[in-house]
Amino acid sequence: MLAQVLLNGLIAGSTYALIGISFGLIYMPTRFFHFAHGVVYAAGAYGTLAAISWLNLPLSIAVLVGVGTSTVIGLTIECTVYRALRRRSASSLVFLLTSLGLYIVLQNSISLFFGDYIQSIRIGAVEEGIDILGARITPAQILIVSMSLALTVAVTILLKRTKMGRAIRAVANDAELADISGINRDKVFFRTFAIGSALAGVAGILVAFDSDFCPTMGINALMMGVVAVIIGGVGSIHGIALGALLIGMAQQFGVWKIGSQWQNAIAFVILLIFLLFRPQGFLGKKVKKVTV
Amino acid sequence: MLKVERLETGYGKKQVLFDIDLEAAEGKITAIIGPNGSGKSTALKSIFGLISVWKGAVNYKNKDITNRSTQANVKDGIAFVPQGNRVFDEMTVLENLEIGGFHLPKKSFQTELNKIWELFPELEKRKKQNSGKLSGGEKQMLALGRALINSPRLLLMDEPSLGLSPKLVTFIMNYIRKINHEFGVTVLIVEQKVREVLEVCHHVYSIKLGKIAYSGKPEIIKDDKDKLRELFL
Repeated sequence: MLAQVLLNGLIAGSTYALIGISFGLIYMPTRFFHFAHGVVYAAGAYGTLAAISWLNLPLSIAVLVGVGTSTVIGLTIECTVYRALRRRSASSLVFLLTSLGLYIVLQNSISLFFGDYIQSIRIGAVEEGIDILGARITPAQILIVSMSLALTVAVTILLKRTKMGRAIRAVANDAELADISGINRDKVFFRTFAIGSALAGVAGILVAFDSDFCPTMGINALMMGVVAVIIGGVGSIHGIALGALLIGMAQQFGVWKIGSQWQNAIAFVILLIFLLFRPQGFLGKKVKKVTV
Repeated sequence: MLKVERLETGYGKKQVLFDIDLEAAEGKITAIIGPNGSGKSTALKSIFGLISVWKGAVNYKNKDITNRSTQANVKDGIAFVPQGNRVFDEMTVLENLEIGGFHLPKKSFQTELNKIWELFPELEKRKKQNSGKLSGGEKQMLALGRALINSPRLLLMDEPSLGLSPKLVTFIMNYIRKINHEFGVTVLIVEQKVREVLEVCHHVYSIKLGKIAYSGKPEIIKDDKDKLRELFL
């Protein structure tokens, strides 16, 4: 039983890490709560579903359509709405409310096109899964865990080793000094939204491979991702992955010992403990100014 | 090299600068002095495009650059060193310089980097260190290095002495003189440490309540305590 709980914790943690890293990457330079990211995540699953069921495209192409849908939605929001708000020097509260509004409108649009009922893009028949030390894991879950690991490494390399990554970190560290150094902030935001939204799309598709989904799939995933970002520390990709793993494990142990209805409560209790005793998270730096 | 004509600007609805005319001659150091809150830093920021100019014009190398983006200014050879030893304190010394030389091709970046190491050997020793852990003087060197790596023709400096010990102020002023003399960089510097800046500059402006209160050679006011008091009170 313990092996299964640990494995379930790893799987849950991996899904939180995927959405957490994609959200954290965007939050790093922009410093506002991009609520609509939840819909960008769901768009990956629904884009893939549309490509399979409406266009009859093969799965590999449908996945690309799903990732593309998320990327286009994320970029459209950044280029049309957020950029205009930045030009007007809008406060982070205005950004938060706008983003929340966008989330509601877009989630309802998904409901309008696809219906509110539960959908599935599972491949093949439901199988028992592979046995690892007495615990069961499905191929889709193996894909989630391995992709989460691969993307943690890839995003870390992007931020530390590439010119684009350095520009993202510079804007995150001191946006005005980045302007002064000749960094084009709009370009940095465009690229982080492109990568972050594509990653959210990948996360949405992977989760949809593993379980059924509905238009509200984004909100819970986003909340867990955000908790992972706060626990892990803003700016630290490894921290986010660790934070996600901690929540995943704690939730699964909670399900085992006290009951599944406490899953979300456990995550938020951990969040509270971190906010009170280690607000900078596992590996993050002390935040000079907190914005919503 | 830089000519500012009838510049007016401010923050929100509050006007800070009124009808400012000033020039920074090529190859020279020009200083702007004045009391706290007089609008010195605002003048520098509006020249560089960090805040928008309401009225008037900024000309650089006989081109109108009023309200041009900071990116365009950096690419055109203008560098800005902001107040308070500001560096990217979550990044290493080398990464700070990489950000400074963001638009340079790899090969010329390496050449420019070597020049910075030569100018500030202390920084090379600490290139892998997190810049947040540098001393005040080292941070100021890094801030200068970040600006100089693009080989600017015009260097705008906002109170480089702020927060530094008197010994370090002299040290930094000597560096400014060296940068101007050896590299031929035109410097426009805003400074509160009047005595020190008057030693190194070729021309000085004083701004008081958002208006030019004095323009002339530093030698004329350097030893005139009454005039200096009048400019600062």
